[in-house]
Amino acid sequence: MSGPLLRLDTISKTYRDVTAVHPLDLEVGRGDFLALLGPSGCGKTTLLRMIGGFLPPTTGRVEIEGRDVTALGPEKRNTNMVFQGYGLFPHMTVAQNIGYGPKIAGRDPEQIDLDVVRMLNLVHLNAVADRLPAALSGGQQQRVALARALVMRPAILLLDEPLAALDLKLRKAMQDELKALHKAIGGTFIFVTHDQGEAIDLANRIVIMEAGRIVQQGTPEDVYRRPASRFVASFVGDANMLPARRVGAEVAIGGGRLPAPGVDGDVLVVIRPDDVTLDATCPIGLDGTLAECRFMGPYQRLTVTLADGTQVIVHRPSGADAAPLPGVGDAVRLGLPPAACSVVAP
Amino acid sequence: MGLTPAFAVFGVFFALPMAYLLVVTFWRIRRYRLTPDFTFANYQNVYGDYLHALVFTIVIAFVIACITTLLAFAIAYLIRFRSGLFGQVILLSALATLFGGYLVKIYAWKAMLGAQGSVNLLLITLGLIDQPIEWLLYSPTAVILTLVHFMLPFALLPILAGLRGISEAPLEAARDLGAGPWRITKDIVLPQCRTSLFAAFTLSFLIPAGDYVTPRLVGGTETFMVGNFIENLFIGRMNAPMGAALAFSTLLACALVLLFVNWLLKRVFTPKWGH
Amino acid sequence: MPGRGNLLWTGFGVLALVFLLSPLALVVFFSFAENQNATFPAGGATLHWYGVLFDDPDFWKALGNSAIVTLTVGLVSMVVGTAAAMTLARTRPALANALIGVITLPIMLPPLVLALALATGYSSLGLPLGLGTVIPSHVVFTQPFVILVVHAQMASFNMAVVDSARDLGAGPWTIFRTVILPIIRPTLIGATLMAMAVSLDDFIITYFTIGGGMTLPTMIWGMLRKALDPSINALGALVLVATVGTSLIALRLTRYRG
Repeated sequence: MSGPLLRLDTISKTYRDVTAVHPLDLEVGRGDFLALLGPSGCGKTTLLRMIGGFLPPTTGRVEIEGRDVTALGPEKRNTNMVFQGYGLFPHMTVAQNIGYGPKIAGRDPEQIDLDVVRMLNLVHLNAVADRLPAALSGGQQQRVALARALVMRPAILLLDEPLAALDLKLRKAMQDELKALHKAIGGTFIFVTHDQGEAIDLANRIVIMEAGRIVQQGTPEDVYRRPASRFVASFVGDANMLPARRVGAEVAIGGGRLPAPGVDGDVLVVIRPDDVTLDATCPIGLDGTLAECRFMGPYQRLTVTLADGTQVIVHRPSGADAAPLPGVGDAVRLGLPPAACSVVAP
Repeated sequence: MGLTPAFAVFGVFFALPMAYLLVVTFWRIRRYRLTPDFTFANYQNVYGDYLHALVFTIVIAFVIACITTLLAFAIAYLIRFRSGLFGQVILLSALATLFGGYLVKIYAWKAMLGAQGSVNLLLITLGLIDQPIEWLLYSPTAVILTLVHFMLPFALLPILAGLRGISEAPLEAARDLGAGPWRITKDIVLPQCRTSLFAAFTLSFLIPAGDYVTPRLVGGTETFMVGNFIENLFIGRMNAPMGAALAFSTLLACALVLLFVNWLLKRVFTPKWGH
Repeated sequence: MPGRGNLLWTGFGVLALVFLLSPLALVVFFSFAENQNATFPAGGATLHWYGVLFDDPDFWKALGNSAIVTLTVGLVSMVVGTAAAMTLARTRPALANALIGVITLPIMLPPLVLALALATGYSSLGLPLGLGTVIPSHVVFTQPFVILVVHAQMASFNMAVVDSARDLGAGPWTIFRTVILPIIRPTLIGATLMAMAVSLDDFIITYFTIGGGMTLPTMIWGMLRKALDPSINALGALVLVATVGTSLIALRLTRYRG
């Protein structure tokens, strides 16, 4: 089939006098692993619940596989959701939880048993099939929720902050598991998160939302390397923002020039701390003094104060072969590779 | 939609009869029949003939509500802050006897407070008195004691819920800042459970104010409360308009007292310094 | 420092417990005592008063009426109250609380006022008094208990469970039957038992709306007004055991602790 799997057309959600999601368009292709990323209250969960059919949109339409499903509730949509806090049925065993959807759908009982076993294998829960959710660990509950949704073979799997309830170590493990699962079943996943690291690691496409609007979308590398706005630059990863001026579609900084189409005026030059070098031969160079040097484990975090008082953060690998550092208080020259710089509105 | 049956029951068996009773207060009795009218005579009679009983009732109910609320707060405090298992035993006893034995409780007090009753027996055994105290039964004291006992579990519940709603952190912060248990109770605990204190007070004020069984059984001849008059007006004298007017006057008087108590609680428990 | 304070509190707790329970304990105690004045010394143990009670045909009539009223009121309160609580759980909290405030009015007011309002209403409509008038008069003040308890449970109910069921294709009735009901069943039964205990114990409203009939509490009232009848302790003990027992089961099921 051609065309996107999911198409949102000028969809919006307004509660009384508060607009949670401003009219927006979005297309999601088959096999995508899409992250809706943004701070809390940005409208990402509202958007996800409109895709799932839990909230009727105020305006616009939702199409799945070319079919208009705007008026359909979640029970009639070919999407399934993994809820924040999982929403497992506390009075049903793991196997009963997973078999609930197929049973409602009226699938053949023998087929249900097979499906449930297949799912238990997929998420490695055979050993606890007859336990109640309360007897499971957080990670296990998470996997039951996944299996319960996936057994329905949804066209799109929706995940609402799927890893938020897990501790750091478990979260990393589940991240790997989710990735493997996506690869194994080749489905389309859309997940909501406020954790940029999680989005970058899991997704092949990230949609960044701010105050009910999509502010940027692209591959993880796109949004990290080429942030479209000051908000994106600061929300996704650490960023140095250096004030500069744009004149004639160019920004002059540190003796070099960056091409930057747009009207003349104040701008910010954005560069990631790990892109800043101490290489004096770089075409763009900034002079400053080393104010602080902190050991962060895998890297060192240098703070350099420029002549105008701006502070620039530099990350340098702290491996054994790392070049020797200047001392605190010494003058240093920072190199900004032009390809790593982006120009955004202040 | 699901509310329809519940509100139908409420409308037909509460709102309508209460509204009708209110209308009846403006009617009169002619030749033993309820006759529609629009007269304030019944209310004037309340003011003329029953004001004394009304004030007496309000005072008794006020005393009962004060004792009950204080006692309930102390017990709730004990359950919430002091003892683990023991508190649970008290709570369970209160809850289990909450809905049980309105008449049995009154009757039990009647038996206990008599000259031969177990209270006098206990006091004599302990050597605190030589002769049984005659005025224990058939007195305002008996009414107060019985109704405090009856209302205590009802008052305990809202206060305990209020105390449970208070998180530990502010209490620990107050301790950290040097406040003793009494200061903490006064400055942190009481103001935060003001609404539940008021709920407890309301319940243990209104129910006794309208009770007629307790004064009838343990109050004796000198403790005639409004409920007794209302019951007598309806049943004995078949004067529903007068009884209804007395009932609504009582509710109105209670509402005024409760408004005052609420204002007082607000005033007392709002921190005043620092503006 | 803690030793002394704790001792005081323990003493207070013991007194509170004695105050709460001793009147009831004495009724039960004297129902088994030979002394017909229900005073100390109590005399030997006897089942005589229960025998007297069970030989009284009025007792069986009152028991039958109480059973009919209590069971019907419990059932109706459960259905009506649960339906209301379910809707209230989906109503926005401010409105839901206001509605709950209204519907719990019948338990806030002195029962005498409601009893007289109902009696006056029935009599002006010319309705014959009997169990048919007692039952709805009870439901109006028992349904608030069911609504309060079930609504409290629904407030802590994990709504993601309902969303999950919808997401997996279940319709509203299927969701209620397969997900909500199994989870809230203990609460539901407990709330119903509470309503039954309240109904079983009610005297004032029953007295004014039953006409000539009799339930266990109105029978106690009758015995109280006659000359001393020692089997009143037996009857009182039975009513106590029934209401307290029902309440205890209800508390266990609902885990309701205030």
